[in-house]
Amino acid sequence: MHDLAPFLGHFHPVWVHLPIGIFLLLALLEASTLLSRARGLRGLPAVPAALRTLILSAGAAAAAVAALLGWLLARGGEYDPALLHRHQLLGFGAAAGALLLLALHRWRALYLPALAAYLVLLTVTGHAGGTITHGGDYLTAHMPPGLARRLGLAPPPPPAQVAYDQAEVYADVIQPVLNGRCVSCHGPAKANGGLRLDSWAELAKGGKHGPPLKDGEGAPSDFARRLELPEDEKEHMPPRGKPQLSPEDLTLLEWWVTNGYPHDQKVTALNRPAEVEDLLDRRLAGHPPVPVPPRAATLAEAQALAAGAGILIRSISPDGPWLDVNAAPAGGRFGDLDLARLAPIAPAIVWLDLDGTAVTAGGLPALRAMIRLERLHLAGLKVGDDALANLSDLHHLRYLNLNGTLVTDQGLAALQHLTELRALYVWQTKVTAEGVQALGRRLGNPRRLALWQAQRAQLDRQIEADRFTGETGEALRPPVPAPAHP
Amino acid sequence: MNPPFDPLLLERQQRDWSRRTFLGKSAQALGALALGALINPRLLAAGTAAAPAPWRGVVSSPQFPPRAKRVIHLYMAGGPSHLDLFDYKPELNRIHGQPFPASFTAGQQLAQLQGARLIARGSSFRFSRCGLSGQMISDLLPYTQQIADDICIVRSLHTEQINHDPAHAFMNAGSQIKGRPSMGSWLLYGLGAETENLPGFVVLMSHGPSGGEQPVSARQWSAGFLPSRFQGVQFQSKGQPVHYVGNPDGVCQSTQRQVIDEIARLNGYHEEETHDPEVQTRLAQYELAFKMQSSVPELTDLSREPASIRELYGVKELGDGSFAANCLTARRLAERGVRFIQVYHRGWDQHGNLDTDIQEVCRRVDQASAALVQDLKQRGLLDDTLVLWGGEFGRTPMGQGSGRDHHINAFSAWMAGGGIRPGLSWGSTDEMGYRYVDDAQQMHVHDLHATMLAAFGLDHEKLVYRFQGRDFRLTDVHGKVAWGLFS
Repeated sequence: MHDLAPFLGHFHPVWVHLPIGIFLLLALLEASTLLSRARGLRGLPAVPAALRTLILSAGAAAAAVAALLGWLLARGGEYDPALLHRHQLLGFGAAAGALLLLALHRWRALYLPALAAYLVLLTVTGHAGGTITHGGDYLTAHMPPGLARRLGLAPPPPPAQVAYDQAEVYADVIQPVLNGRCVSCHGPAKANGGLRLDSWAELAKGGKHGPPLKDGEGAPSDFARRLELPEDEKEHMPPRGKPQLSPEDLTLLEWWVTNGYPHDQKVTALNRPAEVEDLLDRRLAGHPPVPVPPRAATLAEAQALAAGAGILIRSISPDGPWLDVNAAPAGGRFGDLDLARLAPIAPAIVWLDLDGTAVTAGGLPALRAMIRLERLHLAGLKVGDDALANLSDLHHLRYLNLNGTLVTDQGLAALQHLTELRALYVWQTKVTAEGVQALGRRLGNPRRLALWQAQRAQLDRQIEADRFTGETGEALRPPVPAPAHP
Repeated sequence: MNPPFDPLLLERQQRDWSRRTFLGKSAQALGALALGALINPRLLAAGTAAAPAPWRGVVSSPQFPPRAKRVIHLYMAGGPSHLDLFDYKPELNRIHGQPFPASFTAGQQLAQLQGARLIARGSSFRFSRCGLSGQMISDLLPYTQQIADDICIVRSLHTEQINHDPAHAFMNAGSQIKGRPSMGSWLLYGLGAETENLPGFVVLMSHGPSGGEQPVSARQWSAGFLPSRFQGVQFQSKGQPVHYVGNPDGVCQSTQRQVIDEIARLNGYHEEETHDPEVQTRLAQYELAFKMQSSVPELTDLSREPASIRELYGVKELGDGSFAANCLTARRLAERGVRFIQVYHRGWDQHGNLDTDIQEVCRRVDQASAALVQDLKQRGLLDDTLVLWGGEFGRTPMGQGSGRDHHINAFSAWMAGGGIRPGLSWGSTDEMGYRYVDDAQQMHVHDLHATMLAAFGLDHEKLVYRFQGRDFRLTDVHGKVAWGLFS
């Protein structure tokens, strides 16, 4: 016969709210009874003794059933033993407490203090249960920072930036990925399957399924297998419905797996494909993450600003707050003041087109707040070299159009740290080819360049190996050896 | 999450409801009106506003990160021969003049060659590997050869319609059935335009020396069942681009403004009574036409372009109606925020005399097409402008006298900009160039449409319009995005 225990046990998280609700209602009624004796509050109802008995009986029965269901659920063994034990003790205590309350409710002097104490017990029990499923910080994780500081619950300090050459593969690249998506269920607060991923020692040791990193006979390790399974598979990790690893995270983990799970090597000791190099560049020597502006508020603000200034503002992301701001249609009607008015949405602006507007060098400091800019059109503005200093910290900039502006080679120096820059337009300016080349040399990442050159050389060798005969596309065949004559 | 495509639909449905109620129950008209007002109080409040707000599209947030902001479609009407331009087939050249292998053609639909004896016809033109990408391009297109590393050539296109008019409809609207909106109309409906002074969808037309080619019907840029404000507006290539755009003698701009405002006010009353979207369209058109009185002369004044740019495109005479002048105008339209620009060139329908005629039409088209890409590139516009060069179908590898017949199983086109990976060759055909190779890179016209919408961040399955009780899409019930085309 099918084992009903796990099926029934999973009703525990639903059922537990029933006794809690019953006892809270009872507390409300008792408060009403007490208050109804006061002058002026006579209209409040008082609980008849028979009703009190009925409610207490129902509450005690519900608490007993909740404890039973909880016990069935706990037998499945999916939870952290220490936390479980605490909750179990409290839970059985709560069930017993309900019966006790029913037994002594006729002694009024004992009953009311006992009911108050019982509500405290219920709260503590419920919190212990919540900690098992949601982790130890489930109440404080999303607390406003100001409130958290006042309560002495300062958020953890941001991780220190590690220099690329010094970075360790496990500690500085892999562990942060695990911290982000895995440790909430496999960590000190909660270790599902007995597995913890919050340090190399714990990870290597493994949980009840054994060491997760051990490769099987011609099969991937448990760790790799669970990551690779489709999301709807039961054994896929993170479980379906929980936040998943990003493609970038997966790229890094895959790189780590294929290199045999190094845990004490430096990043520079390993072979790094271009896409991994890109990610490492961003995560290690990169820039501290900037909080993402709230989407709904940003989009609403954007609509109001667009209508006021006669410009186009369009959302360019299905889920983020990111914006394309096109002021070109407003032309000369859009000036420095209008640009300054975009300040509330500045951190969300990703594309900005100021082509042909009346914005001057005096207005461009407003760009400094647009830290996520990727595309920036300044074509036709009467701005010179000093204006470019406002762009020197726009590290996401990929496209910059300076056609027809007054910039010169000197001004380009301000762009020398914008390593994401891919397209720079300086048509009809005083910028020379030498100036652009000089910028290119300063922007170039020597490490990445060496990597590309190595890849290019390998491709060249490959092409040489299966060379084509020009137009026809026919592969060269080795010459047929002449038949040997006797 | 907000449903991204509801506002227009909802508004229409509310209006339909109140109007139908009003007309159908005229005996209880007052009660019905009150009911309509209860459902949507704005119906009574609104209606007196004069000029309608500029259209910003029904899509509030894209489904994918967008790459492109506008399209320039260089439409090679008539069916350019892929076998002489982009699809190099040495095997076809080898069997030139011999019977075409029946294994390819058995049971297939052909246009004018149906039932005829099929003879293989190789290409008379040399092909070269071009640029660092090594793409194969015919020597008929020396300028296009120079931009090989900027364009992505798609060789696996195929369509379903074998005659010009239905095939044009299929390429434009994803269906040969009349009354479906064209690509440009869909984009305008979804995203609006980035200009208020010009139409969001502009069509230009040029033709060969005789002018006697297959005509292209105006329904190819129709808005179909979408409100007609989304249809393409054809500019005349010669003379005045828009007829009667100037004021008659004795009327100045301020008088004109007053007239437009008064007409808008009267139309506003009419709109209030009928809630007809076509009145909305008329209100928008009057306003746009007024703005075009100043924007169009400025737009089409190519004399402001320096001589070097005119030489780049090969514009011989200003306003001569040539493809080159139209390409230059197209770039100016793109700069001004027009969403969809279609530049037709007729004259690719070489059933006979292919070897001489195709040289002539290439001479008229090649230089300006390449110049447009180069000019967009130097202005930094190519990053978000999607250029599509191609026709409605291809031509047969079997000869038809001295030419080739229509062919739907394979044809070529190229794309540039708008996030398309430059220098890429996408898809292939069999060794005769007869049929696309059915692999991950095959590209039906529906797939092309889905991919173009994806470049704008739009999911082709979500951009819908309810008409006659059904949600319609540009791609009907088909279409698959070729994500590999994007860099």
